[in-house]
Amino acid sequence: MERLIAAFSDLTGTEGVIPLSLAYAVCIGSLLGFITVYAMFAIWMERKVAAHMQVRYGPMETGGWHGWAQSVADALKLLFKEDLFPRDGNKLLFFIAPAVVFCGVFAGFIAIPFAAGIQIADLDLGIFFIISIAAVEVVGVIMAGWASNSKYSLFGAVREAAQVVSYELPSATALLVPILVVGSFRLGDFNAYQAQHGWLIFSGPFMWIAALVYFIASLAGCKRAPFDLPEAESELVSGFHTEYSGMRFSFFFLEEYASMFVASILMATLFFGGTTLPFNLFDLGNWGDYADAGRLAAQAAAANAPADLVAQAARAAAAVGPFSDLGNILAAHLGIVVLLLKTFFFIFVQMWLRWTLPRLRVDQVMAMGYKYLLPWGLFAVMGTAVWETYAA
Amino acid sequence: MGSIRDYFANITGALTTTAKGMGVTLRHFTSEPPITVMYPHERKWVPPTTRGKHILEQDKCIDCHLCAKACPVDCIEIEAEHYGRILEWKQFSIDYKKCIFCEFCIPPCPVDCIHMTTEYEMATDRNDDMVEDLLTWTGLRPEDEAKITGEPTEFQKKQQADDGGKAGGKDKSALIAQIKARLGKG
Amino acid sequence: MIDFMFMLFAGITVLGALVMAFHESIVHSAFALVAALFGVAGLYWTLGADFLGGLQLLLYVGGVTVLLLFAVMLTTRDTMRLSLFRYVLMAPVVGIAGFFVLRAYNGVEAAIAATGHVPGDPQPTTQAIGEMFLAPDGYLLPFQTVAVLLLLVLIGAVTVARRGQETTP
Repeated sequence: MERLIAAFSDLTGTEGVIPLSLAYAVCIGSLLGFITVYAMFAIWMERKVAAHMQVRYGPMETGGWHGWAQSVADALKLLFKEDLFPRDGNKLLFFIAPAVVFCGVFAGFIAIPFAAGIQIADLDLGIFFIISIAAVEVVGVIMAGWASNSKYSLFGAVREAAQVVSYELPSATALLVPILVVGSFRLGDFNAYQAQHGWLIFSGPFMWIAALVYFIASLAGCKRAPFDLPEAESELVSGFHTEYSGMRFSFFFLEEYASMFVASILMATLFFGGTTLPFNLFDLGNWGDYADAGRLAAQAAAANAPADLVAQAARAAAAVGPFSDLGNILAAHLGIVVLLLKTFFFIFVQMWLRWTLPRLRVDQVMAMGYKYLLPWGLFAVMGTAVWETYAA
Repeated sequence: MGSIRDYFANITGALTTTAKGMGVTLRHFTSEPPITVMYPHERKWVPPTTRGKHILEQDKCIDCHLCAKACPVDCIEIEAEHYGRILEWKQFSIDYKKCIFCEFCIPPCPVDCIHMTTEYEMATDRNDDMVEDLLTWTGLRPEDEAKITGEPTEFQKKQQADDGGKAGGKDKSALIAQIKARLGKG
Repeated sequence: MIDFMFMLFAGITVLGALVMAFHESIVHSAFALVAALFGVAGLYWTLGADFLGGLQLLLYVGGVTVLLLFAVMLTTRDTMRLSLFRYVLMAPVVGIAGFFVLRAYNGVEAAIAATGHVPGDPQPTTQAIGEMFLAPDGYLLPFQTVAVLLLLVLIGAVTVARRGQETTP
C-alpha cells in the first residue's frame, strides 16, 4: 500500500492527501470489483456444487459452457426488478440497512494480506479488527428486520442477531489459539511465522480443535450451512430480508458470500499457511522480506535506536513487496494463487456442508454454541497456553 | 441435564454422522453422473400407449358424432355436410385447453378412425393455437365431387378402358342370377 | 490528514448524539446511538488508541447496542415518544461543567505528559496494553480482580435466570 501511495505521489508530483486518496480509491475500487465478481462466481459455483451433489446438472444453458453466465443474468434481472418498499416501513432505516450490513463485511477485507505488501492496510490490530467489524453487521440485520414493518422480518432478524452474536464467542476464542502461538494480531505475521515454522495446523495438538471450532463458528456467523435459520425462515415463513427486492436484496446476498470469503481466507491464513506451500517451497508471497523488515522495525522502535538502524529499517520496510525483481513478482502472484486456491477449497467445504446437513433448530443452535463450541474453544486456548509455556 | 457420557456421545455422533453424510455427497459429486434428462436436447422415453394428441383418418370418418358425445368435457367440435354417403368437411377440431386426454373418444368410434398419438409437446403462447383442427382437407375432394356428380373418376375411367367396367375382368351376371334365385327373388 | 479524520469522526459522534437525544422515535434514537458509538471508536483510532477502538466496536457496537435494540424493539409501542426539550439547556451545561472538573484534576494531565506520547504519531498499543495487564508491578491485580468480578456476575446472572425455570417442569 505504501508503494502505491509513493507511486501515485511520483505520478502526480504532489504529497499528502491527493496520492493517498488516489491510492485508496484504486485499492477500494479494485477490491469492490473483485468482491462482486467473486460473488457472482461463488453463486454459480454453489449452484453447480449443489446440483452435482444432488446428482443433477446445475445451470447449463446461459452462456454456453455449463451456464457460467447464469449469475450475470441473475444480476441483470435483479437490477431490473421493481424496488419495493413496505407501506408503513421506516424509509431511512430500510434504505440504510443493506449498506450497513455490506460495509460491515467489506471493511474486514481491509486487513487481509494477499501477499507481502499487497494489502490495503497492514493493521497492527489485524485479526482483532476483522472480528470487531463483523460485529457491526448484526446492527444492520436488526435494522433491516425492524424497518420492514413485518412481524416475521422482526423475529427473523432477532433470531439471526442472537445466533451471530452467540457464535462470535467461540469464533474469537478459537482464533486466540493461533494468536497465542504467533504472538501478534497482525495477519502478515501469521504468514511470516508459517513461512518459517511450517503450517500452524501442525504445531501442537490443540490446533485441530481450534480450527474445527473456528470453522463451525464461522459457518454460524455467515448464517450458512446447518445454521441457516434466518434464511430458511425466509423460505418457510419470512426473514429479515423479506421485504427487500431487486438490488437491495442482492446486497444481503453479496454480504453472505463476502463473509464466507473472509471466513475461508482467515481459515487459510491462520491455520493452513496462507500463501505458503507446505515446506515453504519457493517462499511464495515474499514473507521472508516482510519478517526481516518487521524485525528491524521492532529494533528501531526501541528507545534510543541509532539513526542508521532506523534508516535501515525504513529501507527494509520499503523493499517489501512484489516490485523488486522478477522472482519477487512471480512469488507474490503464485502466492496469491495458492491463497485463493486454499480459500476456494474452504468455500467448497462450506458449500459441501450446506448440501449435506439438515438445518438445526434454534435451541440446537444455541446449545451447540454455548455448550459444545465455547468450552472446547476455551479448552484449546488453555491447552495451547500450557503447551507454549512448557513444551514449545 | 444429561450426563457426561451423553455429552461425548453427542460429539462423536455428530462428527461421525456428518462425516458419513459428507462421504455420500462427495460420492455423488465425484463419481455419480447426473441423471437429469436434458429436456430440450433429449427426451424421456414414453410408452406407446401414452395418450397424447389425436389424429383422424378423415376418409374413414362417417360423421356419427359418437366421439364428441363421449367426451366428458365437450371439447370436440365436428361439422360436415352430407351428400348421401359423401361428406363435405367443414370442421373437426379438438380444443386442447379443455381436453383431459382421457381417451374416451377412441373406443366409441365405429370405424376406428380416431387415434391418440404419443405427442405431448403442445406448448404455445397463444390461446387460439390450442384449438387443433384435425382435418387433412376441408370441403370436397375431387373424388368426392366425382361420386356425387356421377362422373367417373380417373380410376374408373381406367377400369372402363381395361375391362369394360367389370372388376377383375370376370363376368358376374351368372353369379348374380344364382344369388337372386337363392334369395327367392326377394 | 489525521485532523480531518478526527473532525469527521467527531462530527459523526456529535450528530449521532444529537439525533439520539432529540429524536422522537426511540428506535431512531437507538440506531443513532450506534452511529455515535461508532464515531467514538473512530475518535479512539485517531487519537492513537487502536486496541481500544477495536474493543469499542466489538463490545459496544456489537454487544451493548444489540442488547439495547432488542430491548427497545421488542418492548416499545409506536406511541412511545419522548420529549426531552426540558433538558435541552441543562445537558450541555452539565457536560461542560464535567469537562472542567476533570481538567482540574491534576493527575490526568500529568499522566498524559508522562507517557511521552506524540499526538500526531500513533504507535500500536496492543502489546503495551497486554504487558501492562500482565506485569506484576503493572495492573495485574486489578485485571484479575475484574476477571473474578465478571465471573461472579456471570454466575449470578445464570442463577437469577434459572430461578424462573424451577417452576416449570
